[in-house]
Amino acid sequence: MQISFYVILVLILLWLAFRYYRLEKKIIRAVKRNFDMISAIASIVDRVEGYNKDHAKEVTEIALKIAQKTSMASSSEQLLSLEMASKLHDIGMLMVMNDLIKSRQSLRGDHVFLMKIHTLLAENYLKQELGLTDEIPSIIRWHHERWDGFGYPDSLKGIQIPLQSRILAIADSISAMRSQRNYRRKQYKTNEEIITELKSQAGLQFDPNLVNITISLLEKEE
Amino acid sequence: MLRFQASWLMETIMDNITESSDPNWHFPCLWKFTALEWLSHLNNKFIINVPIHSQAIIFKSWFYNQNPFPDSEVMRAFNQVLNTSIDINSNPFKDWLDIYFSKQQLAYLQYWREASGDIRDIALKESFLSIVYQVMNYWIINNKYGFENALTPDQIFSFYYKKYAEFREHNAKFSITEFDYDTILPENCSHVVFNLVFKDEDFIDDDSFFVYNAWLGGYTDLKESKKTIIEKIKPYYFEFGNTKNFSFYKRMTEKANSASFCWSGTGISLNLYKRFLVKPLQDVLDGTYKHSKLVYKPINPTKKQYDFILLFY
Ligand SMILES: [Fe+2]
Ligand SMILES: [Fe+2]
Repeated sequence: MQISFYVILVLILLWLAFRYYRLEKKIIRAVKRNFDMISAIASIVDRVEGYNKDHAKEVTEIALKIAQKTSMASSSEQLLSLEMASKLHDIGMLMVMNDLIKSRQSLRGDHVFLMKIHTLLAENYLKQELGLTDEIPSIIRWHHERWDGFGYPDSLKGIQIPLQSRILAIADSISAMRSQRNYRRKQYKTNEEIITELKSQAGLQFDPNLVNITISLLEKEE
Repeated sequence: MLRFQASWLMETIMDNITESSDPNWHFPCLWKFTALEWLSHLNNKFIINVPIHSQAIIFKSWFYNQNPFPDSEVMRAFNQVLNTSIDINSNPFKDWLDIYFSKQQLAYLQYWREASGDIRDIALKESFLSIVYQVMNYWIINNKYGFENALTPDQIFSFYYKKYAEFREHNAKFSITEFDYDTILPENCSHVVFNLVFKDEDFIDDDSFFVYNAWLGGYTDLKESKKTIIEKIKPYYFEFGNTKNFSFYKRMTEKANSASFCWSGTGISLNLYKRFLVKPLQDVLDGTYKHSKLVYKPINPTKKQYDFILLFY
């Protein structure tokens, strides 16, 4: 009597474990599909922006590496938000006129202002979908802010800019430095050149603390 | 006022109010000039009250003064090559040596302060001072993180000159006032905007604010500098459960068609803000405005950090 009870119990547990295993596999597959979908959309944005490579993917990789060396390394939730924001950071560009982005001239006046709106468009549309408690739209809003307070859209200064956006800004710039785009004249090829550029922008465009972290990462890569 | 998001405020207003054709704005207290960058592209009028004199100079230089800039006098003052062997003991700012500045940087700061005294045109002088402020910012930060300065003073100068030219390409009309809390008057306007400051909020997040203020006054005591600044800001502090500012809000909204309160949350729960900030303000402005609307957005939801706008219309 007792033995059969235990046998049944074990069978039930096995069955539950099997169901759980299958469910988890299904969820993982679904999550992975969503991730892949986001990456696919990101690579469309890359082409619209005139990149000849997977810019968003590169930005994401660099951003996560930097983030691992900061106070947010232990927060899987924040890391995930940064990952998503990095992938979608320029999605607002899809809504800014195509010819403007591809313009070979350097941008001036009203055109500069129009370009700046891509941060707001992205935030607004994502906010509607993601709801009021998700930080991804805000991270994207501030990916063009500068440490010295002369960025856009809000001209925030220093630590007013959330850490994730500061990381995204630096990762975005490194990826841009490594690529050849129409209106970007200079291309930085070696890590050494990138390090020099980062140093010169510490305290101006970038958070000096993050510059230090990034430089040591780049030096390890050499 | 950790973060002010001008375009978000605009959106919130436009979502709820049919805008008049020629809107004008009143900010009774603001001290970060870059906060105006976004608004400066609008074809609107702004009255900005900056209670801290050392910052008001910078506001005026970037957004108000009508002057050709820089002129040769200013350029010359920035392009001097100073002898590093200058005696540090006679430098009035020597207390800051190796804390904020190097010997050579201190020599520049001494020289620039004297040079600014020789600029007779007030607007030009203010432009000059506001560029010094940017250079100081750059030096303080780089020294703090141990970076060698990649740019020379005149290179930073020309960098910020370009920025300056960008900022000056604005459509908006600004007037900058320097009233104290007690003397500021309500303005006939479409929108009055209050950037709330909290007592325990580290509202000025870098030393350059105090260092610059002291440099301008010709002294090095940063405690003193901080004290003079806090004295000006203190009356604006919002304290939970304290109604001391409510008559101020009531007075400032007298002639305004709408009022907005903007603030950055610091980890206090949403419900507490609703109970101890939103509700009391709604009660006090009940007779002035028919509607109110609270909007917020997450900054770091794991730490319960949100930014807020409370709009009355
Ligand atoms: Fe972007
Ligand atoms: Fe990008």
